[in-house]
Amino acid sequence: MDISGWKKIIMHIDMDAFFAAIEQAHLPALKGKPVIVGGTPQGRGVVTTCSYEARVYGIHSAMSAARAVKQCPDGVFVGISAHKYSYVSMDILRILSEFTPQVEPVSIDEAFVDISGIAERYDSFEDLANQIKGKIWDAHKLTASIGIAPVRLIAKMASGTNKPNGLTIVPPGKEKEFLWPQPIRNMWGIGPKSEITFQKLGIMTIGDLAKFPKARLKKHFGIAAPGLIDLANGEGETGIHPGYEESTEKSMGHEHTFDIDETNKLRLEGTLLHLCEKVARRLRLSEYKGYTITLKIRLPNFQRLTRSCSLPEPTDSTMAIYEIARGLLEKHGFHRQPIRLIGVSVSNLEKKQETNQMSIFDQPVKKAKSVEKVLDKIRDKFGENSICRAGGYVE
Amino acid sequence: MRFKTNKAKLNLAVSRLQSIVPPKSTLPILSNILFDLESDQLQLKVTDLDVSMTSIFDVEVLKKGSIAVPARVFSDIVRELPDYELDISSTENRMEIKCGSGIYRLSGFAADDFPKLPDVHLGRQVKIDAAGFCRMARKVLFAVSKDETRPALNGVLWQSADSGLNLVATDGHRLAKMSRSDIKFSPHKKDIIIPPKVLDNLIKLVGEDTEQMGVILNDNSIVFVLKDAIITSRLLEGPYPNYEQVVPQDNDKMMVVEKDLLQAAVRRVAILSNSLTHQVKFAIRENSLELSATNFDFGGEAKESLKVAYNSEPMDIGYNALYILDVLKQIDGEEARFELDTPTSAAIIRPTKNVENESSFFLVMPLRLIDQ
Repeated sequence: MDISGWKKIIMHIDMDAFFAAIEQAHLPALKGKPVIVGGTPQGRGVVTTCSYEARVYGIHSAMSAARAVKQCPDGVFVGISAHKYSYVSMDILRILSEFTPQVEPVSIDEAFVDISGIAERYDSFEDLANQIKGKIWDAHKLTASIGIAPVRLIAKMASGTNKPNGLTIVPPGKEKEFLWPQPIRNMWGIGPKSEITFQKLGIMTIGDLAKFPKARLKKHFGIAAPGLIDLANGEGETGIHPGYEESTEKSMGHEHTFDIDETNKLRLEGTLLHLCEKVARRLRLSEYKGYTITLKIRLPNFQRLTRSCSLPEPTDSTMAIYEIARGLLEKHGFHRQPIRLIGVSVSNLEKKQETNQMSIFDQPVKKAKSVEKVLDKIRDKFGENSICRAGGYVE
Repeated sequence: MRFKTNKAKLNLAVSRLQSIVPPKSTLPILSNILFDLESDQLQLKVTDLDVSMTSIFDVEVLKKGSIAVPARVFSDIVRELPDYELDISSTENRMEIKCGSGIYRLSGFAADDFPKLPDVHLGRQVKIDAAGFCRMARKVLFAVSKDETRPALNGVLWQSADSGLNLVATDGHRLAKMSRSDIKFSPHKKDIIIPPKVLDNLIKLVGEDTEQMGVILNDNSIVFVLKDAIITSRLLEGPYPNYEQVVPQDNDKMMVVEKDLLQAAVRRVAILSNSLTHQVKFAIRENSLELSATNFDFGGEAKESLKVAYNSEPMDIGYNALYILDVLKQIDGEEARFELDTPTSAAIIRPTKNVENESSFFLVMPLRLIDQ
């Protein structure tokens, strides 16, 4: 196909009623029925998502289950199976990456794909979109809506205009035609609050925003104003940040919320050791070492306390991190009160580098390191929970 | 409470106390100075619960009493005041400072809220040479570890024996040891570990003219008694690693260098060393030493040659330049002697001449030489 005139071609793929569609695909009896994911028929909890059949009744995500029952008495409630959804999500990313490695996951049910490099090989955008949709359907019996445009924002909005199983293409030069008639609320990132502010300014459509003086908008939206007007004019980010690009980690941490506020020092320390083990294991797996250990505590009144300690040399050792974290807990006397949440993180990371500085007292360090090496090997082979330190406490 | 004193005297005392006050603490009362005027002398007290310090001096007592006020604010006020007589008083929990035409008032706390400092039994003190002790402490403090994973190394080891007193510090990569035969501390022949903070503050307090100071050793604290101040510190928990076991006894390859020349050359060459390892290669040949470093980030290379006294087999050893510089700074006299064995074993560095009654050495572990 001819792609002259396109600088970048961004595709946005949005799975249709993702969780509900997975449930319907896995249990065919649910097909054609108004499926509501999240909440209970007794009216507890909130709706996470629902099938298109349920949307007819006005059901939408974040609605209370009680209201959903009232509006759609025949609705079939199903519980959330997070593992199932993330498995399917990962597999869809894999399918996309068969077409091009330029895939950026945005959330569990949507992704951007930069197809600038591959579009030429297909007869038309329809052809490419149908091949992608076909592969997803064959593997999971799910449909997706696709938007194609020169910038991310428009691709994202395009995928949402023709749901389900839609395909909307906004070629270069047609951006304004596509954007301007749409209500301001449809723009990515505009929520109900901003909508009210816009309406007060007389901005009802994206077209109104595009023509609005930047200086005046600045008074209401601060430094975001010029960017918003550029977006309304169809100018925006065109880059894709593929998942394989190494993200430079800033910190690694784990935390645990106790079912009942914890007052037992031994259990606190055991939990802390368990968390340190998880953090250190992640550091070692990704070959990072960190200089700064931070202990985080949340009290029953939700007050958040953090204390840090920096080391002269970076570490990825469980016991080193634990000794510091436990020292912080002790030093500041946090354990003298009930604790709701405890967490530990390591920051100030750098890629592991074997030091060639020799040490006077090498023995204890070498010993601790070899214990960790053995633990890591066992976990690599038999799974994360196959072995743990006797002091580590898991609730 | 009410007293009169001059600004300079109070300012000096307060600024010395300031370094004990913890910058941030979960116990807000610790950021205060306690003014204790229950006797004929004014006692100013601060503590971070580990290290406590009391400054004692004569003032014109007008009314006895006590109050705790924020240390930082008080010190800022006194520092800026003109050099006049100060009239300081407190009523309820407020303090008033009058100086010339200026009046400053601030809120404080009742003395009862301030943690009680440990009692000091002056009768048990042992007098030692203050300047001599501080000289020892100053020479080993650089080697104290900042790595909190090995708490015992975060302090200075104090070993008293019949032969005198040893101070030792190490961070696992280098070690410093100072011994004096004229400082004897007979009542206790045990090893204790002293946090560096108290020694840092003691060094600041002890002037050239301070001849003697008292030392009191309790089960888990040490007290230094000076003419106008008392510093108490909790001791660190041991055990201190057995350093004697790792100090080589038979390094027989001797290299004697002119200290100032080596120091300057290492400093220059280190500019182009790897910014993480600071590796400088010591290529030791008969009566010559070549220092070299490379840094791939800048594509930099540096080389310097020095004349030394050496007549054993040639050796190439890598050192962290910073460690060598730290040690050379502590070596008295014009020459330093490197006692070596192999490129991967500890080097002992010491002055060629010892000060009377004193002996010292510094141990530095090498870097495994890698091309970088």
